[in-house]
Amino acid sequence: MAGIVISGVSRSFGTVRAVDQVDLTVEEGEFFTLLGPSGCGKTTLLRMIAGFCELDSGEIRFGDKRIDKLPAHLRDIGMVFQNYAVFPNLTVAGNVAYGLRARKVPAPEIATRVEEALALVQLAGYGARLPHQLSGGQLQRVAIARALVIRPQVLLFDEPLSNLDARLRVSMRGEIRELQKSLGITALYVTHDQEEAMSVSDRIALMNNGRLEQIGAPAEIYRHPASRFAAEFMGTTNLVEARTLGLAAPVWVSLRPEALRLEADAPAGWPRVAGSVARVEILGPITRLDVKLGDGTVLKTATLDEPQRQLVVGAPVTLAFDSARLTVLP
Amino acid sequence: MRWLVTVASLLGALCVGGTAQAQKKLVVYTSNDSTLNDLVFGAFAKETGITVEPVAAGSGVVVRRLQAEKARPLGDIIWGVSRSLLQTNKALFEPYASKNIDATPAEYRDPDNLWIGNNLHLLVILENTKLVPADQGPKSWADLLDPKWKGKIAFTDPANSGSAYATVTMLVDLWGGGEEGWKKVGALFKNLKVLNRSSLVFQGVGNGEYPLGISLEYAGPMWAAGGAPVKVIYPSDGTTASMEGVAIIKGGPNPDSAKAFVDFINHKDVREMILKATYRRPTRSDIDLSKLPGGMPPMSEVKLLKYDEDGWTAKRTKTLERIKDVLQESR
Amino acid sequence: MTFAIPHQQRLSLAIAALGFLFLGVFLLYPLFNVFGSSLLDPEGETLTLANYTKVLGRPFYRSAIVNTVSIGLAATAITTLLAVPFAFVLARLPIPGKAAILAMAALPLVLPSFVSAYAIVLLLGNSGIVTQWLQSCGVGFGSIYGAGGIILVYTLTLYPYVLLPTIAAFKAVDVSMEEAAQNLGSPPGRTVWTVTLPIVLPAVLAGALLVFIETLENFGVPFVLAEDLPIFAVEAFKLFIGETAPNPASAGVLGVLLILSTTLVLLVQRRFLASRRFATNARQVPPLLKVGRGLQAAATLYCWAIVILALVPFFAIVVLSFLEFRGPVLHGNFSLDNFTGLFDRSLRPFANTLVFATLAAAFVTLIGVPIGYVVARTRSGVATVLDVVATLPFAVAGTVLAIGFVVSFNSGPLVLTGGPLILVLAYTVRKVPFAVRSASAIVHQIDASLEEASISLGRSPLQTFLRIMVPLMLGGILSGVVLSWVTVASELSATVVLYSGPWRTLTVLMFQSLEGGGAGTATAAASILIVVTLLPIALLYRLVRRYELS
Repeated sequence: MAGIVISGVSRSFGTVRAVDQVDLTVEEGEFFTLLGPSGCGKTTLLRMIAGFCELDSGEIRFGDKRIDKLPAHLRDIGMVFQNYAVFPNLTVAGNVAYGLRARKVPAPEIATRVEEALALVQLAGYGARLPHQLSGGQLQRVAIARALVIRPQVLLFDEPLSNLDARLRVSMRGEIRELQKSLGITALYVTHDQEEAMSVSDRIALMNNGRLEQIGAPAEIYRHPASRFAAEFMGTTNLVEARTLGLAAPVWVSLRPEALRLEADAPAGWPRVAGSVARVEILGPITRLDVKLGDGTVLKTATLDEPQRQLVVGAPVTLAFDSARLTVLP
Repeated sequence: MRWLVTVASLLGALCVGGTAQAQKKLVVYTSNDSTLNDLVFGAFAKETGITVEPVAAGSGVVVRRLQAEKARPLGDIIWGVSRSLLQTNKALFEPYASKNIDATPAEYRDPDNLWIGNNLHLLVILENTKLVPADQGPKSWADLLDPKWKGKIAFTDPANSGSAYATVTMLVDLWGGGEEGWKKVGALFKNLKVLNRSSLVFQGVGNGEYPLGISLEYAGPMWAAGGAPVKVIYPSDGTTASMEGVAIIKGGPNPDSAKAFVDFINHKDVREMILKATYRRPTRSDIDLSKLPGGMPPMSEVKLLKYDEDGWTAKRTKTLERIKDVLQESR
Repeated sequence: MTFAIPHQQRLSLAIAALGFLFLGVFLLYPLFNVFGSSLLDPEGETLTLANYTKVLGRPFYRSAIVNTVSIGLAATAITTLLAVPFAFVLARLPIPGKAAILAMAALPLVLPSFVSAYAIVLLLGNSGIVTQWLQSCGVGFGSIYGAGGIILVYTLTLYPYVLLPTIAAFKAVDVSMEEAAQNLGSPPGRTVWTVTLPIVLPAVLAGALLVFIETLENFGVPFVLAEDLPIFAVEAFKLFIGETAPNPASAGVLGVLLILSTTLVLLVQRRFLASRRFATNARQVPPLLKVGRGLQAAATLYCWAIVILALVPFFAIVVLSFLEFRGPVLHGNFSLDNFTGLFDRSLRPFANTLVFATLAAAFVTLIGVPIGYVVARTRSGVATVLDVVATLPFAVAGTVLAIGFVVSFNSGPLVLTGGPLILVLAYTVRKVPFAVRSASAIVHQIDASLEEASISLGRSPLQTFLRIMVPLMLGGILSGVVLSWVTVASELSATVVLYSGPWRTLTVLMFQSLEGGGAGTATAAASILIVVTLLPIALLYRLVRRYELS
């Protein structure tokens, strides 16, 4: 078990700087996520750690041990792929035992460890089946069991849930998180889904154009985005000039929709802005609102469902906001 | 890794295989057909106890191989190739005065005994009597110019057949030589189907694919004997004989066996045996054809043209290009 | 380390290096020895392009090029159009007698093309049996000689080249792709057209490429059927070993042009595939489609019609072998004389054919499959060059390669002439493209993440190749083995130049008999070859079926 230390790592493909001078430390036992839009370099970085992509410069360590020159098969990594990559020619048990056989673990031990690993991912009794008899979710469990059973130093996840349907995605991410915590393995997780990242991670590194934008705990990045990109990528936000909200400073601020309320629901001390309803979207428990201010700026907000309230497009409306939750952007 | 050793030793065995035989043997490069080969090699083994390992292929292949192996000859004998190929590859042969040279006319052997002729192919016209009634066929080369034969005469590409080359050049000379001769040959080509291999010509006439074919004499009696409606026409305006012969390859592995073979192949009995089975006209002048099957006329009854084989061999490359042009123009 | 090879490329580079070594010694070096003369003046001293301008300046050779390419394109197009639906039916529709069809589909390759051509002339020639029968029914048709006949024979003999890899590809299609398309509202027919076909395209193209190159190289068929239509390979053959005036310089020009055009076709194909690389992650063989009775009957008829038509020369030869031949002349009576005549001689040629074909197929697989893997997986200049070099043997006429072998290995450090190994090596070089193409087509369909998963689990790239890739490629590899085995067993053009002494093969025996007025013996030997080849084909298809069912 070890943490991951990435220092000064760069990689270019042609003229594109895929990963640009990245420094990063993942603590031992931490669940760390690389989050960013596609093409931001997160997968390249993950593949460098796994050993499938060369570094142009910099180094990667697991604890004290430098691993970036090590062949991929000697790095002692468990990796879970987006498309499962379960070997179609082996049974479920054969898949899980694969890494143990590579490590020349004695047969009786392999049998017990495979049983344990399958039980851990709730697939006890599935050992004799062939992959084509399983569903997508079950395949990904096999892949996870296969990666865990070798007790790797580091567990890597490459968008493991994006091929699953929405409901399964939510339950699987909870399971992955629980497994990781119960085993205490250092995990590096790559996703482009902000909600997934926030749900599973101890910390998140937000990446853009090959660079790290911001590193921090999910709530911290959400509440205190360090840049426009961070503010916009981490959920919905209103990026407005401070002047629009009646503030004097010549800066841009980020105001999350939940920091805005209809005047009637807001505490007395919150500042007010007036506008008209531009769009109403009733989603069941909540209703989303776009409010157009006098100068044309649109603010997004939401309220809990309230049957008595009539919100019609064009009607005048007054909003209040929590100035403590304004983030001033550089 | 033990299996690797096994595999390697097996391969080694393959590489050198076939050299360990104790009995006497002889490697013959032959462009004769398998019927003739089997007949002669069987009889030779019976008489001398020498086993023949034949390498049989078209004479072009055989000669290319001979040339490629110049530095380390693998064959002892080259047999069944034309006079002009023997002449042009003289440097690769070993002189040997066969016991039978006296019965072979001087024109059919090398003055330095580098090669000796075995048999003669007369250039003839084959006729399928089922497609053309026997009395309506051509009598002479000149008759072939008749437009009614357009597309009905099979011929071999002279680029791939020494006898076809000889036919064209002989006709150039017969028809006046020079430009005049070439003009008439061009007219003849308009009637020809030019096939790629000489065996296609007699197969074609024998099987009825083509009514007429310009071919070698032996094919006629061979197909007729098998029951095919094939007749040989000896052109009344004359023809020529192309010779095939045998030579000992210089530096071959079994020189003594090679000499025995050269003696054997021109022996009178052997020539008669070969004629009976495959209708090859011998070069020996002391064999009475009328007592043998095939109905082949003696040379004295065939009108022979004067043909400058060595001259035409010398300018072969240019002539072949000219023939290609004639062929192209006639399409 | 200042000069370090990235570890994830080491396996590929090692394979590439071994591949280049083998092909360098046994392909490029002999070819260089043969073709060198085309770049020299007649004295062999100075470099010149004069031979090229001279050959290309002649209308005869220009028309040969035009004829060859047009016939090749037509034959390739027709073959592909016939074989792709055929493959789809075999892979995805419920039709009776599939195993039999599959086994019979490989048969046309068993018969050497000069034997097929002989049979076709007997059947469809100017006085062929079928021709006469048709004429007696009042139906006439054009001559079998010329471009039409050549295209017909090519189509009927070469379609397995497209069929076999395409079946494998159709079976490897991830059915969820099709389901996805149908979910998106695409009707089944359109799904096949827009989703399934593009996925199998690499395999189809690989097969079509083989057909095209084979038509460029083949001389057995046009030799008999072209009459006086100039054909490239035939002219090259005549210039190389023509009886009258071998002209190595001009022959070299034709050979080099043939190789250049093959290279060009290959590069175009590679470029085309590079922009369309579809990996699918098939978890199971796609289920059979449910179709109506009418369609099923039509599909069945279609498949059987092609298979049977392609086998007509085959049946003809078998029937002929039981008829009486007097010398070269066929008589219509039943007779076993052809076989007794054949068995009176040594059975050595049979044994030779079996041993050579088996050894060569093993070598071809061991060398070609790893190369195919590298070619498909690596996107670098090295892989492109390797691909081109490994496919070159298809463009090299067997005769030419064989002459190169004799020139190169008759003396010097490596002496091979006179033994059997030179035949096995020549076969290996000639058939390596089969294994490379069929392996790379399959690798294109295997998701690279499977390998990465294995590596990250602790298996080295080599072990990963052996434990994951080889089992997944098995279907493709086996079909490559069948193709190599069968085509080696029927190889003539290189054998006839290279064999010596006791190492005569069955095809040489047939060729010599046919040429020498022993057509009966030739047909008997061909029948034996057919039977002998059927066995391994049947065995292998059994294996493939068992593998696919489990």
